[in-house]
Amino acid sequence: MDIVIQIVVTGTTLGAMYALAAVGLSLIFGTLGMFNMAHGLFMTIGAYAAYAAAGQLGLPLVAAVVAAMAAGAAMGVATHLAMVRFMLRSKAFETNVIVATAGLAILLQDFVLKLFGGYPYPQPVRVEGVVRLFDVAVARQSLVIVAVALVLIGAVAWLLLKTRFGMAIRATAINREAAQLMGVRTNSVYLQVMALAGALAGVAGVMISSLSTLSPSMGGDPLLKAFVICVVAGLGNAWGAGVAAFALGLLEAAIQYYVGVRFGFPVMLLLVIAILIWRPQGLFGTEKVVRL
Amino acid sequence: MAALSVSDLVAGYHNRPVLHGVSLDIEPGTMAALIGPNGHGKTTLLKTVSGLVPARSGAIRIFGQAIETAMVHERVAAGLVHVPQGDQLFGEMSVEENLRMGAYLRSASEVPGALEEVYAFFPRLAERRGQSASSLSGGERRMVGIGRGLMAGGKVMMIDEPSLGLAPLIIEQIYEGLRGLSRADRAFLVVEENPSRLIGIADRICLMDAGRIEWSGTAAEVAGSRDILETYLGGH
Repeated sequence: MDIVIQIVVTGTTLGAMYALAAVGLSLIFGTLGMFNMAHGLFMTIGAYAAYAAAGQLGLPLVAAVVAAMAAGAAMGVATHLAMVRFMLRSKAFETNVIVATAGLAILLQDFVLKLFGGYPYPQPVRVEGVVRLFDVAVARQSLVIVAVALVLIGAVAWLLLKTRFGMAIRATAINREAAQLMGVRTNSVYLQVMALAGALAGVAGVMISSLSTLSPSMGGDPLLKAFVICVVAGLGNAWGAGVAAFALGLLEAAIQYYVGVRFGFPVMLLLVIAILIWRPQGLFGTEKVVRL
Repeated sequence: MAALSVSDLVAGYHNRPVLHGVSLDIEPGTMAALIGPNGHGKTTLLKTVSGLVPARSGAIRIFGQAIETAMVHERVAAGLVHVPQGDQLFGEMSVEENLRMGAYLRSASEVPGALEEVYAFFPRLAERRGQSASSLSGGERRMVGIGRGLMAGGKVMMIDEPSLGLAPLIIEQIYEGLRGLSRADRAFLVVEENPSRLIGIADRICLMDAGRIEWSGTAAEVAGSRDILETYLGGH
């Protein structure tokens, strides 16, 4: 029983971090039709922004998380304004933008390395201590991660489903031309989605680094996992991505315990391949992927 | 002043011009029908007026306001509504969400009244309001498309082939409905393949061929002009 609780706690924590990364990645894919290879670096920069705010400037933890969100959002906005918007109308947009954002990721990673060095600093933005849950010791930070993820993803869901702003995002994702004909400024919607997804990535970076350490290359692994989650859920399906993130987090934790830590990701990938053979559109995807 | 005035409009895709100087005036309170063979620029004209296709030259005015260089959303704000071909509904949204999107630029206080009007108009949509748009039949989809356009409360409404792919009975209902929507401060431009459906409904019929308005007149004049019918419409 203790073991099951331990696995659930570990898996939910992993899932919460994956969800923060995957929901943003999926929103960008669903709305702009682009796979953002720089998403991992948005996480890295968010993590370092929180480190700088709390560790170097001595700001309170909440302010440091806000700084991470702001840094991530700023990266999203800058990426769109400086790069993506010029490529949107091009014929081979979907492949071009993968190459372009991958290049941006390399550039940003070098920039972080130059600015902070490669030393694996601990993330100061974390809550110390342990609570007992049914006789199992659980790190407070795990609970914080899950709570933050649920609150933020809940807020995004509310935004998308209940507000005029969210309706415009959904309409643009489903049919850009029709959204324009309703009076939606689709270029602003793209910018807003990049900011929103960047902010989520910034928080994801803080959470991920709080359980390991900071490093300029820390975004690579979560980006890969977020991508896998988006594909499993059905590309562009943000709800599906959130659900799939928690499911795969739990699965990974269980495999790590019962089979071995180093088998977590390979077994996850095998399962993903099986799912995609069975349902090529992803678990929650509809027949057609949202195109631009 | 014309509700919609298009003069010498030239537009097309990439290096292929489709409209070669289209001129057209629609008076407030009237319905004009655009007929003509497929592939001769009817849909392109609508898309150029709404801004989805950029105009190369020429002027477009809505109640005197020049809009040919405006962004799509600015044209919507000016009162132009374009109900596109093939409905282009937001499939994953419910019927009511689709209708609400139609009123995107209106203030929140105007939306309930507009919704009520559309539901009174198409009672079928009231029954289906919670259903996702992708689950509707062809006729219902068309009603949502037109209803979504009505939600904008626009002054000039362009509808691309409201009858395409529908059963004759439903086509009759839809045209019946459109006739009922006629108002002094509103004008309609409807694209239609089959001119016989427009007799008694459209005030003016414009025949489009090879990227130009070749002829225009009343529905009665079309019916009386064997030449026009035989040359352009295969004697229907």
